[in-house]
Amino acid sequence: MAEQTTQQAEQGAERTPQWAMAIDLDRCTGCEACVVACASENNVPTAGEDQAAMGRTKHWIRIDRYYEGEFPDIKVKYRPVMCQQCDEAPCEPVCPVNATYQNAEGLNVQIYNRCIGTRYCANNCPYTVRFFNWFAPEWAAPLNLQLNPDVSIRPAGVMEKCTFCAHKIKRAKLDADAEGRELADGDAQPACVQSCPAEAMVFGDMSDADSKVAKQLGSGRSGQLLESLGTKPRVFYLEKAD
Amino acid sequence: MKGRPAARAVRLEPASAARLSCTSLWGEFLVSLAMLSALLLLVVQTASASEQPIGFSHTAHIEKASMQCTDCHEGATSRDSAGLPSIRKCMLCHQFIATDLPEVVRLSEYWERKHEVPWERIYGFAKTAAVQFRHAPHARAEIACSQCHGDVASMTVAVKAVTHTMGSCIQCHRDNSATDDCLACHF
Repeated sequence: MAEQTTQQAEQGAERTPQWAMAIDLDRCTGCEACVVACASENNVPTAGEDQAAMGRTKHWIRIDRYYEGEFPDIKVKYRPVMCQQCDEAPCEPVCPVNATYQNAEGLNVQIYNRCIGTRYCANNCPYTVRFFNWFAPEWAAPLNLQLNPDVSIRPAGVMEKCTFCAHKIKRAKLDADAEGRELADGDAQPACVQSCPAEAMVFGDMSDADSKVAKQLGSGRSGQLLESLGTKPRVFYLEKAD
Repeated sequence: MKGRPAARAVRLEPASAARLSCTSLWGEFLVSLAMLSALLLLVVQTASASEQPIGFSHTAHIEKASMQCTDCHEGATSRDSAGLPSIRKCMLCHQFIATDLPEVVRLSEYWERKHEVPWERIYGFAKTAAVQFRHAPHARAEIACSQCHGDVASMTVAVKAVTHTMGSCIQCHRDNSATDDCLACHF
């Protein structure tokens, strides 16, 4: 009996979470708190006026707007879009140096040290959520003091994108480990999810049927962005079925 | 920085050895002399390579005073970074103990000026390296300090005895069945 319990505990410890996010579009108000939180959490630099004019802004998460109807009977819909962490990611096979790959937990990983800046991945991404560092990022003093030490500064010449706040997932795991317990649902929260005032975003392990995100995915309202491409994103959008 | 003079000494040695490799015994003697002096130079330069503001002796504290690494490097078991002790910690003891030693006198000078000791870190990754390291999980896995930092207990001023490369990290991770996912360290 005791052996069985130990075995189960071991199996539990080896269980690999499958990270996924559910975004309820009916709740999103387009406030962009997630955009701000993401930039400050992940040391995402501002491009500056000139570079922005050339389309070189970096936003690991953005809010897409959709207008329905004509003024004054107009309705706006918002959709936060970040890296969709696809299971069949178009960015991965085109990388000549394996700088981007899907890890066991379903995260699309970008390894800055490996990236040689071919930009194939960004060109092959249907969601346009990959950003190239044309120049070394700069933060005018005293903004350099607010940089997050848990996240590497990406040098010039490498690609970057949303990581699902991999550093926060790591931190949650280490904290759970230090306290000698299993990682609980809601322990790992990306900055965007944490900051959402409307609680439109839910993040968690979709392989755990009891997790909040798994329940959202089973709600019958969920769909994926550009589903027809077969990229199998890990980001699910919930909206009222028409 | 510290490795540079020593490396130069090593480079010098084979060049002089080649030049002096005559057939005679005298040549052999000269070669061994050159090698010896190069070795001596290496040892001397490594020992004096430290640019630490105070010649802190690890061996005096660990071997003689029976202190633990974590007494001063408090974060090693619980935090991301092991950390260097504040001068307050030094002065807890050195207000009373060994106050006449020249290095302790220098320490008290910092204390009287209300300055921290500007210790030079000898381990750690540059911010530009895009590598993240957390001490706590390694301590939980019972990896001895010496595995990554060498036998500091027998050192005076700590020297970089172990070179941290991705190869050495991954080898250890594989030997201990830890993760070898790139994301474990690069994020």
